[in-house]
Amino acid sequence: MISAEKFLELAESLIRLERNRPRQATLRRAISTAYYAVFHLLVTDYTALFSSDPNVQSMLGRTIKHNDIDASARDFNRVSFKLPSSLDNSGITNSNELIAVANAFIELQEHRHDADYDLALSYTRDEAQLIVNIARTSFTNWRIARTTPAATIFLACFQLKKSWDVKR
Amino acid sequence: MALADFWTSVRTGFRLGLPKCVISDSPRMTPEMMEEALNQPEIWLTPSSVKGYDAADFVFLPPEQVAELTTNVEGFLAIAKAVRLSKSSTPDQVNAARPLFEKIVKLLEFDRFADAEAFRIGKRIESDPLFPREDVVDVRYRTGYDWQGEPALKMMVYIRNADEGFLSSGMEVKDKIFELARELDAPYFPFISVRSEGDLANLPKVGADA
Repeated sequence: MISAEKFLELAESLIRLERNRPRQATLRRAISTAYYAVFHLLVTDYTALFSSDPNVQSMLGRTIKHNDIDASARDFNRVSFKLPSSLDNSGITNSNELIAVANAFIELQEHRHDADYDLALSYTRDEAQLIVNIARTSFTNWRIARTTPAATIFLACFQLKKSWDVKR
Repeated sequence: MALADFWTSVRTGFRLGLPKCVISDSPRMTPEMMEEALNQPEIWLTPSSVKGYDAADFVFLPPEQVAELTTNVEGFLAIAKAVRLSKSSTPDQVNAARPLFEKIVKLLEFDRFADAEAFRIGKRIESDPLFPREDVVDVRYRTGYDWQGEPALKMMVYIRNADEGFLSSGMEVKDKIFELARELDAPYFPFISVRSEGDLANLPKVGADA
């Protein structure tokens, strides 16, 4: 299974691909690929909640939609974050690194959408590089945050949020 | 809502006076453009051009700017009402009203703020002592929706050419402005793009996008 890191490496190499005047199409692919690096980073850890078998993980990964992660990111992108209400008294606290990852995901998703669909926009290499750097920083932050209880709930909320609050 | 009404009134008044090849929210608004716009037939000289003004809607501006805006609006309104009564304007009235309306247009900075909400939020961000004004040359703001349909504040930030390099400086500025925007607790998620000041020169010339 290809790792999320490979997408990030590709985004970084695309930024440097053309030495003089980078083509807009190249910069757009770099931005889009940077988003997918973070998307796959999170999806990989989400699927690891259920199985350590790469084949099963790959199958589970296909169930995740982009706006599933976006919704979870918007719930977790503040210190006073929005847990499923049945977990309100769980004592789980958010971390700065997870907040940064959540915000970066929302940002990158919008940049990716602009890069892929808004053909009127024009990017500079610096601007695109900075967006790719947001993705690189997210990898660093996620490495710190991923073992925390809040990060596990963040991942689980991609699809299970509603299930927590169902009355039984 | 009144701020949005006033914003629309002034912009409409200004656009009425513009030649067809120029738009009032062009990326750059030069003194020549302003003069050309307000030299058109005086259809802008009407109370409607400042309709909806309420100083209380501008509490986010420094008091001296609100006072300046109020003075100019009141002065303009007095002339516009007199013109409406007499059904035509004299050259003296036009000459007296033009600088007042020009000042109002300048204060609203249509070239930097695409809409009234962008103006309100952008001014609040820039008034914060933590706004990195030493590093920032210009910011362009607009509100709207992101691809998910969620409220969004889009900002294009132009930074000085920093010695330590664009990336470190750009990331630092972006993070600071992001935090300031988040602290406002507005419903808009801040999306920030960063460019260097050299890119300001690449903005389309006035009228080029009409």
